[in-house]
Amino acid sequence: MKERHDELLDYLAGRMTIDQSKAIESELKSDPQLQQQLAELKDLRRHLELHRKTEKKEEVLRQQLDRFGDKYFAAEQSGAEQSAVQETKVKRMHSSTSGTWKRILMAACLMLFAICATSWWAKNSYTNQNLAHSYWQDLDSSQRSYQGTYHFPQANPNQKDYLEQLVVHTEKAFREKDFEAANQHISAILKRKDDPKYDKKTVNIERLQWNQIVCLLALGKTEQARQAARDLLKTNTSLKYKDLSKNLLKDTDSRFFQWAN
Amino acid sequence: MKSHSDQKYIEALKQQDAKLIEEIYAKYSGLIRNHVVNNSGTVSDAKDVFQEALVALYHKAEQGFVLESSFKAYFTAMCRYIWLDRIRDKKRKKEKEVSFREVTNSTDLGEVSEELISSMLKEQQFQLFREKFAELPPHCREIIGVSLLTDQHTGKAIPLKEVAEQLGREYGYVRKEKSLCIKKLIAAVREDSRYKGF
Repeated sequence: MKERHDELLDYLAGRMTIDQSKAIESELKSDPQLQQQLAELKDLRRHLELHRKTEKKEEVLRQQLDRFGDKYFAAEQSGAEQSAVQETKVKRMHSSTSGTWKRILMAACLMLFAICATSWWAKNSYTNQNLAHSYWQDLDSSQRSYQGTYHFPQANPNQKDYLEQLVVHTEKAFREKDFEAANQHISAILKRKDDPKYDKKTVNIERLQWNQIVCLLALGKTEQARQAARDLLKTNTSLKYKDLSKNLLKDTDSRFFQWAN
Repeated sequence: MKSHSDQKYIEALKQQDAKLIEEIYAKYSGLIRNHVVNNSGTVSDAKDVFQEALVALYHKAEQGFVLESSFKAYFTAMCRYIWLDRIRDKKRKKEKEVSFREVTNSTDLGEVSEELISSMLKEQQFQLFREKFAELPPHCREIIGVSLLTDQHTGKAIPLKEVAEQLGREYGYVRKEKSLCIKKLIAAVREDSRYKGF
């Protein structure tokens, strides 16, 4: 559709000659599209006139209406809506109270869970047996994994290598976690360690001392183990066994250990 | 045409007579609030509807509207129409599920007359025009504003040469721009979904 706004506006504004006006009027009679364009322009002009007329006054009127609106509709609010607002406030208060209780309950549950988990962990990690096992695992792998083809005849105290035989027996018992037997063998060795009639080339005294401490711990003789560790610390033993003894004293001194045993 | 005694309220809006305008609020705010609140609205909605109806009445007053029935009947019907229209709009936007039948069946505010529907449609189109006019570039608003209107003193159209002089622009430029801006404004109004014919 060809837009003929200029001509139509001139026609509406009376800016056309009489002949031009007559010509467009006759066109308008037979052309519905042109009629529609004219109607649009007329409306546009009417809207624009109204806009110009009302724009400034309307602004002032709206301010006035806002004031009355606030006054009368706020007053109306005092009935139903204020009670609704009150109800909402109460609901919020209730929900915030129940929210606080929920949080407290959740915190209590978390604390309970933490205590249970810690207890379980302590119980499993700090018993004599478990502690002894962890020290046993820290021992030289050769001690734990010895898979030799030794025959283990009864050690003979009349033979010169009696102590060395006992060491082999000790290591076997220790490897098999027979802490009772290992403890007995070590005690026998340590009793004769200064006897000159026995060979002691393969006997590592400080290692045996430490192994005995682990055995005592595994057998539940905590106090004896602690005393033995303290004794070991007083000797000229190597740094490795001093560290192990210190750790053992520290571990057996902890609350977890006391609680677990 | 004989005007109704309540014509004073229409004149009050035109003259911005605070006392009479407050009287309108005092008399009818409760009625409108009840209607809106009972039909899925809030007090705040009621306040907006009330104000919108008064502004529409003001526009009518400026165009020489003469009240033939009571103000209460006419005004409440206007509010009812506006609220109905808002609900329709909300339904269209699927913002709120409300019972349209419930609203249309309510007769507490009387029937909405054909004249009122037509005048409310005109009001809506006027608001749409205003909105689109405000969105035009400033030079377009200026050219359309001056070239389409009649002289406020003489009531005659202002010759385009004078418009060009007033705006300090070339005659050719004003003529060309006026045409383009009008086209732009008409297109913007037509393309809006709220457009229901000029």
